[in-house]
Amino acid sequence: MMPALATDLRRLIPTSQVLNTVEDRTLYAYDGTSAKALPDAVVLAASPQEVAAVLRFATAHGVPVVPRGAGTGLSGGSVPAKGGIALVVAGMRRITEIDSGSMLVVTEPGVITGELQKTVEEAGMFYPPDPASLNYCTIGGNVAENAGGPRAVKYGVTKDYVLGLEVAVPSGDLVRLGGKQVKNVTGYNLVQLFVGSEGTLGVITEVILRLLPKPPAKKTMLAIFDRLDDAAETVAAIMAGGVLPTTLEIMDKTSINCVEDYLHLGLPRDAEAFLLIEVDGMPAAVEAEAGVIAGICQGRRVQSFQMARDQTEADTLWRARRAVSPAISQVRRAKIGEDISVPRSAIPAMVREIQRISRQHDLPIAIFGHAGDGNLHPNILADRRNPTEMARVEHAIAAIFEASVSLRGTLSGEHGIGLSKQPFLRMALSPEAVRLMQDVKRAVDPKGILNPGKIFGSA
Amino acid sequence: MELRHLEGLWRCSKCGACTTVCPLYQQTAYEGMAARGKLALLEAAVDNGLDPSKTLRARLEDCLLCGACAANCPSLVPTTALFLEGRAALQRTLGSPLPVRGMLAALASPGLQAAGMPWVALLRQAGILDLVGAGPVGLVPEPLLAAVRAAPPIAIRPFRARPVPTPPTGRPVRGRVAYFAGCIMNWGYPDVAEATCRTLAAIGFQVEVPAVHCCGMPHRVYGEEEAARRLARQNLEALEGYEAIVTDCASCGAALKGYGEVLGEDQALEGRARTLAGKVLDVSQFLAQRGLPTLRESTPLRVTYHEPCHLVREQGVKAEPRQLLKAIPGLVLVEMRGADVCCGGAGSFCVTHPELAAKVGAAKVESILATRAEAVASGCPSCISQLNALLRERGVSLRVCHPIELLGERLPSAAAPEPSSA
Repeated sequence: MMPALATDLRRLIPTSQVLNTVEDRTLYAYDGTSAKALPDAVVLAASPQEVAAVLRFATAHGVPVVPRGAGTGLSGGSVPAKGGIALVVAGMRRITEIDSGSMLVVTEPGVITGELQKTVEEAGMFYPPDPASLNYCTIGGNVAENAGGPRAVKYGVTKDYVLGLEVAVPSGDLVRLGGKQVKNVTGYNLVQLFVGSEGTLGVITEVILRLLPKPPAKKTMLAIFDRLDDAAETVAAIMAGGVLPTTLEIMDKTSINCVEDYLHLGLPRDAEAFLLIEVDGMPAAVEAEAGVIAGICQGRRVQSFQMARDQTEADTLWRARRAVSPAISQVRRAKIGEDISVPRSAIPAMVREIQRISRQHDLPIAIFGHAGDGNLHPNILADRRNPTEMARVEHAIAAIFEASVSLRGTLSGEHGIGLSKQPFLRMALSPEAVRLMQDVKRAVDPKGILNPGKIFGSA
Repeated sequence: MELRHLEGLWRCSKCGACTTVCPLYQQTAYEGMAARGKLALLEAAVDNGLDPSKTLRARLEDCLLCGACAANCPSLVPTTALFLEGRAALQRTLGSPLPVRGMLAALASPGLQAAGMPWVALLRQAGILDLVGAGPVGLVPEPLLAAVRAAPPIAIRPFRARPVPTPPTGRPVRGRVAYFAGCIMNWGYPDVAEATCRTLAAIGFQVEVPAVHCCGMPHRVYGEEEAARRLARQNLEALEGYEAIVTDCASCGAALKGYGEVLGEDQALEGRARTLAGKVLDVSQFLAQRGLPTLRESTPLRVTYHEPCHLVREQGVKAEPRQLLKAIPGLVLVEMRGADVCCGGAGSFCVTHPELAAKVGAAKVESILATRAEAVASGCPSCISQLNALLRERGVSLRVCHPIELLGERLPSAAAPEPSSA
């Protein structure tokens, strides 16, 4: 089937855009997780019409299609688990329109999120969602995974900015949904059905995003706490105090110590929590809000509190948080990053549960994440090439999910279910909810060609 | 395939941070260009027996070795070292293509160079090499055209045939240093080499130009590890005993500083190589440490600085060339956007991959032109050749030179500045 597949595809798509050597299939077998599976062929799509043509062909012949942007996802979403066609839209990377009158941007799916942000900021506007991978992930992937980021506390996530989409669906049709209107109740809100659909319902070929005015001022603060509970109480008090921070990041003791081992910044190794807090907006408002936050922190057993006076100082405060990823990658050969999301008030309980799981399974787990919205990233540090250790990792992951769900949390805040979390889906969703989702999937993709094996497992 | 830096290979989490910093990925959005893709291929070769094929080699050679991926890797994967190891493993299995073998043999042999280079220079001066470029379309192989386009000028009389400048008389000599006369400086840019030596002499150092071999960088790049080791051993012998070894070629400097890695299999040699590496300094570093000569006033000049990959990332030399330029009276340094982004020259890359090199170079030319500079300075002969070719093809007359040339022209002893050889 394999050589024939490439031959068939070359009847639809220019020859040079269809790849099928074992080397090229290896290059499109992975994403940002450790999972990999070879596609049978790779199509480097250059237009929405080519994407649609591949889907029409795939439906007619029952061939799996796995959409892919930059392949930086963290749940195996773009891994061709069942082979078939890796359909790459990374080359469709033009920003087609910036409309400062209506404050929106129209873009192809392969544009890098950070590039899009820079471009709209040059025009005085602001696209807030800021996943950690923003310098190398694509906007299409962000929409497909409903990506978040630290600024979600105040500004929400990708779904809050998508006004319209063009999607190629398995029938081979190109469908426009939503549009340039801020208010639009004409028909079902199918835009939001495709946001976060993880490449199982359609392939996004164009995105219309709402933009905000660029906030002119920003203040960065770092609060260090000896006790986790004090940090959590402070988070609650800041919100109750009438301030909505842009960013409220937390780092636990293991993360702090990994960074200290790595950079020798003189961080307090006994501290249980770092809170990195940012506010943004008009200068006067930012000053006032920062003052409120400083007051709250200082009244609450904070070990130390620093406020940056300028961007250089802000960068210094961010330094430890930004170094977490390289620092923990020095501990073991690999880090397996999870993405649970709990109600904000459950953060201390969740952190303690993860620490218990870490001891029980004898695996270092560094926890950092977004304290402001309850989205935590426990990173299990393990040797990916050691099977017994990886078996313990599997148990630890299951235990983390159980703990999250029992605290009324969920499996994933911003990475998606994809391949890596699909065995646990039914832990978090009722049978009725899963059935309804699968009904939708069947209605849109009757042959089940799009990203098979993802979210729901093998169907 | 077997690799030494396996630990580093396993550390790659495929996060993708290496993709958008790669000048080739930026141009193509093709996974095979990015470090992550190359590492995935090496992983497949190590784990699953992916054949050491020509395709695999082509993917590994689709690389500027600019080091941007390594510099931006959150997991600190030694990408360049792994790519070089992969190339060496493939070289052992597949051998090298004939033109590559010829080039590496010529570089490794000072005798061959001495016999052949003046003829190349004569052909070039007589305009015969340009005829190659003017030949019927399709008749001349593309790499040959690219080679003619990118090649530096070649001197009939190399730098080594010139007398070595001596320190001013009547003052105590501050020390004895070796100038490493690399192949391209020796044959392509003898004026740069002379400017370097005159500057060293002007600040009171006795300069010697030991009989050295090629630094071995081209051999490492093409996976000829044995030849690279032999050259490293020969140069080690020739260079020990000086208080400093000064280079003005970013690639030679990077190669010399990497001899510890090249000679790592022999502990005694490795130790000597690491001691030597500690004494190797780019001329800008040496001058930053030992002080600049007095310079005479000169006409104002607006200059922008392009950072050679082998200087900024391989050697971590970033501030010193700028200090040198800023110290020159009348010179205004204007920073370009993305000064540390590869120009696409990358040694022989611009010959083997002319289209990609031109695309990468076009972005660099835009950055240079946006500064409205009258000259662009860069401490690497490969960058100088590439920038010259790019600007020439763009129809822009802009001086491309080595920072030390600008300084050398303003030495009190210097003759009136001559326009750089183009």
